[in-house]
Amino acid sequence: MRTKIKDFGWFSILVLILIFLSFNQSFTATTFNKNDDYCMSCHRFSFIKTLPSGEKISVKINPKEIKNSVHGKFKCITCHSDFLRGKHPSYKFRSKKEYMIKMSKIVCQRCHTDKSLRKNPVHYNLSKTAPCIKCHGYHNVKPIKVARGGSENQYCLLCHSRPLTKKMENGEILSVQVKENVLMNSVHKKLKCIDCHKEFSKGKHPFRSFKSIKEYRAQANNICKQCHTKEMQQFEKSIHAQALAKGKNAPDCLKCHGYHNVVKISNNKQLQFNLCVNCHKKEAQAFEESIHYKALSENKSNSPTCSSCHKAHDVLSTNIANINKSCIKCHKGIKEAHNKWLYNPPFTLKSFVDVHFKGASCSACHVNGKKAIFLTLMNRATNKPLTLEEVSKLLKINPEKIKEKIDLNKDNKIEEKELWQFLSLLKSQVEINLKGRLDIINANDAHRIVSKKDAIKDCTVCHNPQAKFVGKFEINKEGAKPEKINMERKVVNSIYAVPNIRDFYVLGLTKITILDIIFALAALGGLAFAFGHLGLRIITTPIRRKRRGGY
Amino acid sequence: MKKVYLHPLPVRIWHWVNAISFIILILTGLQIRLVDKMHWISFETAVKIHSYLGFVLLINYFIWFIYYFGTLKFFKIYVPPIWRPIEFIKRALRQVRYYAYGIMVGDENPHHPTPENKFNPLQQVAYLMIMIVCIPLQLITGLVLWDPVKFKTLGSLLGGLQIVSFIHTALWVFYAFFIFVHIYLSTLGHTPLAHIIAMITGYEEEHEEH
Repeated sequence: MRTKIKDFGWFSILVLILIFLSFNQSFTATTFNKNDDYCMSCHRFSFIKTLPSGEKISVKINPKEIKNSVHGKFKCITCHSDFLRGKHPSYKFRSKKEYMIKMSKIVCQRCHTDKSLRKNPVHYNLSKTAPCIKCHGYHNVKPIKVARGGSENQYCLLCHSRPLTKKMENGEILSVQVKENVLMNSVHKKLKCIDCHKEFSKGKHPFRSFKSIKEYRAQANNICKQCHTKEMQQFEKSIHAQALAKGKNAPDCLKCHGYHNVVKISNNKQLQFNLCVNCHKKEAQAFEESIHYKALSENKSNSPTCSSCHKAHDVLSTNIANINKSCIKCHKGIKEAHNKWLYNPPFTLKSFVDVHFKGASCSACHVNGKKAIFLTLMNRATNKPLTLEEVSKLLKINPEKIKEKIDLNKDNKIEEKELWQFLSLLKSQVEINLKGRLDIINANDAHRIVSKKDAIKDCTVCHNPQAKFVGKFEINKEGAKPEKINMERKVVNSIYAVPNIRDFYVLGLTKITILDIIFALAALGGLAFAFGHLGLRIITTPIRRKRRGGY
Repeated sequence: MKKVYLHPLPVRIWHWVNAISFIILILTGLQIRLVDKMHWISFETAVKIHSYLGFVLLINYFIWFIYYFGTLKFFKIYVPPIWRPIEFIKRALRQVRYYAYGIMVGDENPHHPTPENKFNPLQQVAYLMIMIVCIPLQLITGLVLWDPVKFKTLGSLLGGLQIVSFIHTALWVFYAFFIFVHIYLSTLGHTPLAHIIAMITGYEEEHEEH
């Protein structure tokens, strides 16, 4: 009986041990050892840690992930060495990013030291640009091995297909993620990554540092330049490039063509228009009122879009570029069409149309906007506009003070006397001339081109001393829109206009007024001579009669 | 009275075409300039007439040029005897004295026109300047203003369009004065219409005053 009782006791202990073991095995993976069991007793649950940044991190561990990872045989404390049964330090990370960076350093780099990473320079450099976790994951650490013979692109995309970011020196964050599907839909789909990013390869990944995204993008333009030399040369002349160089927010290659989703902007005119509209909303609104936009919206094959006039890469401001040339580019038979009614008899010379094209912008007649006589300051020697910067150097005054130097009474309008005084001052330094043209006051109105039937055909709209034009004095600026100052219109009617505005002559409009007065005096003088002499002859008739003995 | 054949047919044709063209050109010029104040004819019509007559004047000038240079009469009639300057100046002063004083008191005109010596010294200087300087300059500047692109080089040589326009207009001012004086002086024959009739028939009555 005692033996039975003793046997039952041992059996009971065995059962209890088995129950305990089975209980334990029910919540741990079969392969986990006792230390890990301890950790997993809590980390099997969906614990969420909320960071001060508001981001949430799950600290739940999936044992299967660890089992399938390269660290499958590691214990928890192999990596998290600062944790023990009786020790559970609390980390205070402000953000998920800080968590990734610090954990990569504390955990991964304890084994994967800089020394070991340097064996592969690419890997070492990458480790300085992104935390280990970003590429290798958390507990599901996978080896990133590129199959021998795999393409360069695949190699690059192993990392860059992930949401990698790069931090600029000024704190700006740039995504360096490249989505393969985006790349494959671009015009560069047949190119290798290293065709553009030449300094990178399977064995080379230089660590680069940029002050800002702007600086990074400036260098990105150089990548495009490697192949698109002609386009870049054109772009470098553009007002966009000049504005960029001055640190202004202006478009570069990437702004219009995108990063890796590079598309060729050529066929869809509406898309081209939309591209410019992103920045030029005011101009787009004006354009939408034009006959040009009507053609564009009707999908007419010969309809114009922004680049039709402003060009695609060498975009220039309207006063530098000869916009009339842009019109003629599409309206090829325009000279002949104008020549049907615009000629000076007895011959119908096309050059007479050129006279008008040279002196007035197309929009002066084809837009219902307010018009002005523009006088642009020119260097006579070079026959190029004299810029504000050049004037500033010549007169040794700040560019911002030049307006005050012209408009002496500061009434925001250049009077005749003020203009000639200023020109006289400049003439002591350089040979100058004023180039005239008739144009609309608001350059944006040029987008509102009206249909042919609504264009001005009445000559006296311009060829009239009382024509409704205001005066504008214009000094060009390097890489920017010109400085336009209000000017008394009658300067073109002054005798001083003859030596100063040598080649701008609009019949009626620019007539020298004093000659009308002299004409009247000359005619009256001729009549006075005739009647005066006749009068004297009448008075002296008795003398002649007496001499002839005719009394 | 003895009649002298003073004005050959080509000269008479040239003169009257010139006279009519000049008057109309002066008036259309006035209409073009004062389009805001005068409404005789439309601006477009004024420009058309002015342009057509400009070419008429150009062709007419060549008629004069070919006739006077072809017959070499230009040198006898228009060129003052600069090789006898003192005598010429004395004659000119006598002519001035005549118009200013002699004509009033019934003096004889010191100049007696002949086919070889048609103009008195004052006429000679005035017509030489008009025919060799003023009209060619008026025609050249007119051509430049007629089509500044076609005649760009000519315009540049003259110093630019504004200067060209200034010369053209200044000459227009001069002609406005000249035309009245010329018409008045043409009435100073032995009858008010004597010189005018001579320019129609070609015959001038001798001993009559200009």
